[in-house]
Amino acid sequence: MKKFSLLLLLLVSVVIYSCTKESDIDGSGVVYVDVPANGADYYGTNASDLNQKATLGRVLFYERRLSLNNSVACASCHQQDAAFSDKVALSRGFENRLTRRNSMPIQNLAMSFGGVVNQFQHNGSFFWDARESNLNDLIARPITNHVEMGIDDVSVIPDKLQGLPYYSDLFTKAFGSPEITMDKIADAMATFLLAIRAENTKFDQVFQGRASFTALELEGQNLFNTKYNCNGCHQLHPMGYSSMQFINIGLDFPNTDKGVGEIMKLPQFSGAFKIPNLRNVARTAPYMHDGRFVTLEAVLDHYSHGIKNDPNLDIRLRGADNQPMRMNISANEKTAIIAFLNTLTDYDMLTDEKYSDPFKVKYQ
Amino acid sequence: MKKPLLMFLATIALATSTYAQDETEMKERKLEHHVGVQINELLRQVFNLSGNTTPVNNNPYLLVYSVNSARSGWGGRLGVGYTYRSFIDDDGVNRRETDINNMQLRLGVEKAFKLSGRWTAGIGLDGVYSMNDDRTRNVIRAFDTTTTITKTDISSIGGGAMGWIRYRISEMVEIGTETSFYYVTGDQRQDVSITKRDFNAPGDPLRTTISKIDNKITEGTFRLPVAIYLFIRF
Repeated sequence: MKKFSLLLLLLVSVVIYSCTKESDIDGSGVVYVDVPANGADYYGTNASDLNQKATLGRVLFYERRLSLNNSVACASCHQQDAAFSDKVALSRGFENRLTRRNSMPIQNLAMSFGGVVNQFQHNGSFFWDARESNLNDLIARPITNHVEMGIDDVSVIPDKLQGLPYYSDLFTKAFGSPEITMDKIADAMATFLLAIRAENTKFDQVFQGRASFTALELEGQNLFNTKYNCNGCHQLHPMGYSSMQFINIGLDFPNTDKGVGEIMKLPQFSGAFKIPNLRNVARTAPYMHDGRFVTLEAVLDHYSHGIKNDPNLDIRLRGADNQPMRMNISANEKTAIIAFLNTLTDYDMLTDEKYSDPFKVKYQ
Repeated sequence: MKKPLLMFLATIALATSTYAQDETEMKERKLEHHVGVQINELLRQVFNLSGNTTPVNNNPYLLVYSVNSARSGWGGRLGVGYTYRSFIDDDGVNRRETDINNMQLRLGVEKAFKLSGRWTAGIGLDGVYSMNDDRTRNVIRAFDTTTTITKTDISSIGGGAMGWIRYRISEMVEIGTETSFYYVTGDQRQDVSITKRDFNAPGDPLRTTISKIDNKITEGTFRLPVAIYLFIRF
């Protein structure tokens, strides 16, 4: 009887534990769109057409009506102060269900196009698993995802937006007519996304001779580039970043998420994911395709002693004995590397009004 | 904090009560019963483990039960997982209310093997059933007032192979983990109701449109042995 009672107590506590309730504040207000009449300067003062397109794209980026129930916008999972990533491991879609993977940051996308030999024969590479190579086509992907934004058929979107008073002027300025089409929406949003640039970091300022690293940051850079060769994959070109590579870094074996292998349908790519841009990395936690690492220390711990012996593990992460590398990064070295990674933060991009939410609320 | 503390106290109470069991009675049993509860989140929150990482565990079965022949090791197993989540988000413009019910069941057969004095392992085949019910109501109060209600039901059925390993802490308490690969097929049905003002009609009446979506889903899921179970054996 005693055992039964205790088992029942355990069962009840488990049931209680399974149920959670979350709530937020309540309020009411009047919404208006606040954008510069002549468009913000995204592409230079002589690029008026592009600036107007990007201005429209900014509004669309924050437009919740691009989701089935008008509850989430692109910006719901790509937040400016997190370099347009999310601050959680997995985001919540239009029905509050969890997305499959961590939301990637959006910055310096222009460096994802051509100019670099791509082993997968694509022009660009987007998403963790490189399933999209065209930025305009990328726009529709989260919109039609049944967890993220939930719209089954994008042809309904122009009708959804047509009745809203602010789009007539925005579309006319961007495209010469107030007619709304999905192609125009994709074009405007792609123009805005390409305009998001992280190029005024302390790292950039040092390269341009406008600032100096501290001794700790310098040591971190040295460790990053030489002893641990992080630069071999995370290539930090000044004024940009360019890598269309995908590698397996031994996160799991066997893989629960095949990444690029799922798209390419080739076992040798199982467990490979896109090498992310490290600009603003201090602001894009949590890390990896599933957001498993909450801190940069945890990321370095993985490289230090956590790499799994996946058969597809990248050769750069294997030692001379063909076993997963054990970098054994000391605590002091981790501090220095993290100090260097912090120099990749572009505070201007994180706070620039031209990338911010144009929908303002006047509370009554 | 209240919930994991309650679970922890219940687990400790249960574990300490096992020492009252008569050992002679245990050794003579023909059937061995195991009741297990997944304790990953409990360990994380009570002992503040791995603050630098988020859970990678995707094993949904919070409670498991198995009964095996003490002689042959053959037996049956059952697993249950249930979560209920309720959300209310309101930023002054958009108010979204969501209720999510998620239930996972599995039923299977297994064979247990004694590896050593304290270690046992097993392999088996499971049939699985999953049900996810999501009700979301969203009201956007900007330029117009549109209310969208979505009802999404996802159900799937399938099966696959699994394996487990356990370590006996005491005569009645064991700790273990499991790994599995399940392949499932099912349906996702969604009913969408949108109510908004028709500004093109006299009087701006409210109009409701209803649509239905039906998709087939198939997926194979491999689960790593990261779920830790605490078992009571009797």
